[in-house]
Amino acid sequence: MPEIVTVLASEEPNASILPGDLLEVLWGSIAFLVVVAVLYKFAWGPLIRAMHGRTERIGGEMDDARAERDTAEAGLEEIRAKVAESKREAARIIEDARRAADAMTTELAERAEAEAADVKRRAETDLETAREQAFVDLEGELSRLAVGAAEVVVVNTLDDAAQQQLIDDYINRVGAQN
Amino acid sequence: MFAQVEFPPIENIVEWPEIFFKDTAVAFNKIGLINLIAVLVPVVIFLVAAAKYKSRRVPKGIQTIAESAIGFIENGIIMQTIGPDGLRYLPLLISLFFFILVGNLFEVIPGFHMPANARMANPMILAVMVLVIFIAVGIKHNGPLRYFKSALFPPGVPTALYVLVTPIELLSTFIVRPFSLAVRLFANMLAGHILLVTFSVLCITTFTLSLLVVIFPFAFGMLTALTAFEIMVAFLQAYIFTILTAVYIGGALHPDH
Repeated sequence: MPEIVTVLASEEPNASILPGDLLEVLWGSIAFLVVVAVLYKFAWGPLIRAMHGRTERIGGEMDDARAERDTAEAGLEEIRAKVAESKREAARIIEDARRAADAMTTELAERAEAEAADVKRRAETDLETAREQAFVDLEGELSRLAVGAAEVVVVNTLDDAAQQQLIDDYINRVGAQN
Repeated sequence: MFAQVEFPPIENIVEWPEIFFKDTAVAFNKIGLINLIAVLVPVVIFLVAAAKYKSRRVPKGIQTIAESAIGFIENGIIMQTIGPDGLRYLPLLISLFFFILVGNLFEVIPGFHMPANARMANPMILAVMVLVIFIAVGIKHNGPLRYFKSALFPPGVPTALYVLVTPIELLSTFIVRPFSLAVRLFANMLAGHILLVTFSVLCITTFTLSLLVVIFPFAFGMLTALTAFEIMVAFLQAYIFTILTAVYIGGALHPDH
């Protein structure tokens, strides 16, 4: 006849936090600690390594990002310097062009003034020549008229007064020539 | 020799006396304490991680844990079920995941030995909250008419079949979903809790000077294995509850898909 052992679990009501049967707490806690020990033995190392690996990977990525940012900032500075240099070059070119234009304007104005003065001088010379030519022509014409008049006078009878006048003129011319 | 083992009554397994505000509507017992801890633990973890993030961008220690958890919820749940639209629900889903996880883990934590979600009130409230949230999301993003039309009259179904389909959709979407969500979590945690209590009692019974001691290694081995298994179940149930919440929110966001 087999012996029957009846084990009655505690029927004590639960306390506020702990179960009524404290032995349940004991065995449950021991089992939990065994699981924690096994996890610590086999899983803790890989877990910590994975966490460190993640930290190192992110640190490396942040270092790379920082280096790329520094490179980009240096490139930006270089581009800014080139833009400033280009602006200075453009300003210099514009200034040179402006000076060249001013010089050309001045030269053209001086040349135009010189040409105008030359034209004026030539016109004055031509005018003087024409005037002298007119005097010469006039003198010739006057001589021709004088000769004509003399012929008329010679042809006609001279009265006393005309004779006296001719004598006086002759004396005056002779006096003036001497 | 046979051993007759009598297990404690169910009220000893799941019922806990009130600690504060006894005999009132806001009575506070061990389950309330676990819930409070389940709220405080993630809050403290994320506040500390956020404080460290401000001073140190490269994560270490608790910051790594917090960032890994966020990455897990973001990539493992939200991007898989909702897509980029769902990232706005990341705080909700992380809170849900950690609250359920910490509450579940108290099943094996020495001195407590009680998962908060083995009491139906916890999963039920969480499931009702999820129901309200996904209906609100559906109404907000689609308008009440379009949302309920899509939910109750799925497109592509012959009109005559709506007589059959609509009541089924009504039940499955608004009744069965929260019910199954709550019962799945509650039943899993209660079953695990009962299993652990069973093998604890078996350890107590067999750890004697009699011949029964030969059974003790099996009983203790099972208790240890089940403790490890229940830790996994705690994670798994928190994950399942969270991913289903994300699926329901995604369904409410895009009801025609």
